[in-house]
Amino acid sequence: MWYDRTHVGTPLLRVEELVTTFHTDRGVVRAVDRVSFDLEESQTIGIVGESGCGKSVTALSLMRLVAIPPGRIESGRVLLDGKNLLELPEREMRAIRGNSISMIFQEPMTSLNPVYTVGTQIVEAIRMHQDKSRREARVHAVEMLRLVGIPSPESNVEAYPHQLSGGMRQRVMIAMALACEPKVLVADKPTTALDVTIQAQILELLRKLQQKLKMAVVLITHDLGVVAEVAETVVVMYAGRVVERGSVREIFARPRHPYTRGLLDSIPKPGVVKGARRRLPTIEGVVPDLHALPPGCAFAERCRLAEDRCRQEDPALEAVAPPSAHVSRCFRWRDL
Amino acid sequence: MSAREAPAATSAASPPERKRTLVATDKLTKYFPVERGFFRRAGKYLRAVEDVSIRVRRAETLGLVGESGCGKSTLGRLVLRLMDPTFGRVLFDGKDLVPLSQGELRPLRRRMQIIFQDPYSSLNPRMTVREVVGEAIRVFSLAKGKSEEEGMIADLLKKVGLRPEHMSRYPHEFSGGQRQRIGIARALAVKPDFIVCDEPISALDVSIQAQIVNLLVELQEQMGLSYLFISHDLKVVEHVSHRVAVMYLGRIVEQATRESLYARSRHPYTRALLAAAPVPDPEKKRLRVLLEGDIPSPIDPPSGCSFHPRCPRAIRGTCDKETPPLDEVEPGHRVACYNPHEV
Repeated sequence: MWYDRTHVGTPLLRVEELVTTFHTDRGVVRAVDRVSFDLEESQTIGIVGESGCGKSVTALSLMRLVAIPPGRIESGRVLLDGKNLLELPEREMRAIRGNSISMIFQEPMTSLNPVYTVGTQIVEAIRMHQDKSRREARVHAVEMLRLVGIPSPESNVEAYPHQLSGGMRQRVMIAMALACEPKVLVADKPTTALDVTIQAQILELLRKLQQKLKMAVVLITHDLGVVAEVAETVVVMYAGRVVERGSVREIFARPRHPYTRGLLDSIPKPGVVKGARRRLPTIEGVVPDLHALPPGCAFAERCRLAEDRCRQEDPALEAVAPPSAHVSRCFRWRDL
Repeated sequence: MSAREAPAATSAASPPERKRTLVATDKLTKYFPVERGFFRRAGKYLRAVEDVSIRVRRAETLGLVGESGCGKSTLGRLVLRLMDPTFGRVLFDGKDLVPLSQGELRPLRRRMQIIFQDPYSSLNPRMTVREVVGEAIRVFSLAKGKSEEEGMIADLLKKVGLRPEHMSRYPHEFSGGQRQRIGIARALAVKPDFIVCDEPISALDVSIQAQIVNLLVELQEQMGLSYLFISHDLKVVEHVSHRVAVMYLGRIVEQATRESLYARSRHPYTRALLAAAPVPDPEKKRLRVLLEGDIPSPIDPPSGCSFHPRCPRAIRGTCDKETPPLDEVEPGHRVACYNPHEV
């Protein structure tokens, strides 16, 4: 199942030069601007960045769930097992969505249907892709609820979403997303709406299920702490573009883009404040308006290292530690 | 360890101004009736805050940490008497606020303010920044005439890192971080002594969070403000607080100076909270204390210590019988636990 890779040599998921635009009253914005990354089975890639950086639109584009209009996937390829999802007719895409590539969302309350029991919703997801009777699908649904750690799954399969806590609803979402054993799970901020102790439970659950199912995970988050804990690779996005990409170890040890550096510095580290309180390092300024991006590097106006060249020319992604895949979109990465 | 503690002890005993208590609660309790049935009889009560005694000193920050539903925001509102407590007292500068009428409260209201979590819903979208910030100045007649008011608003905006030109703009023209700055300017407009910061940064992006935290700390140092800083994030609380209280299901379970709490936490819940927060260091393999289960309902809290069903150190026959008292385990460090961690 997992090993019948048709295109030997290509990764399980390859995103190539993906461009997604939004057509608004004020003009066209490139929410996702030539984003590329590869992902192998059993691996997790973390896509991080602040609100509006394009990370969620990237996730939706992989699933082809961007609302059209105002959105539009302009160009690029999303290759799952060598097959370009962006070229498939919607009918074929529907057979893949929720089956080989699945998604979970930030707010489980709004992504579950309040008027159906969780069992009905999981059964629907299963029967959409698998030739199972209602009864068989129901048995499978109970199995999935047990797998994700819902207590007494036989009775909770009859529960309505509002009867469950936030953490339990997120488990139901995961059960539904994983019911057809997808090869790729796209998780869009799966724990931001949850408390820390519940977040720890959900991350642990995802890690266990990933090992068991050899699933690849695309994790969208703004929390670098979560990335450090669960991902092998990280993509840092700013104003729609990838500004740095590489292994988590390399990027956390030696960030080669001033934005990544700033993000890492601005996280309060626990248990470090001795004596008087200290100022937290910050990134001054705000994220630029996508409608009016500056001509050069989009980060230049907030960057301490910016020089004239940065404001005029647009830097390309550059390998910073060959032969590793660590790349940075910065003229001055050597000065970090 | 003692060598490292020495400078901390001297800094804690710094200016006498900081030692004086500004706000204190005494066995503060709030029950909400849970209405049910045809006649809306209150059958049960939700115990939002139970037997809480905290103290905020002048020019000091008390961090209040806990997960959703633990009662921390209710406590913040009780302290400002935006809500009436079921039992207990709230002392502001030595005066009990609970028996006061709205008229009697008014002069004190100027001295206490609140900053809310969501900068999108806490500003009136139809009011310009001038109106938002100026309203408080007018309500308390703090300015003589229009031009003085304008000047005050301009100063406030500069103080929070905005520009006076922003005055005639509407909230939607600002980013989340800038809106939170407007919220802070509004709170500062009446020259308060005490501000309840209710999750002031949780809706903001990481890089903006640090800006707002620094701003709050700077303003405190300039103006001698006292903060009750409510948050679910122990890391942020560590950066802003002098002392920290941890809340679980309506009760304070641990309370200490910042250094004592982070270096020598005793309560199993505090330990779990500290361990659950992801650390941005991929090399660090940590011992995870994973708490099982969910936070129980405050309508039917568990018997005894309400943490015992999730607690890895619970002693059967003790922890499920009686609520543990908040006892002092070292000077200034209190823990409500029958089986606290040793240090």
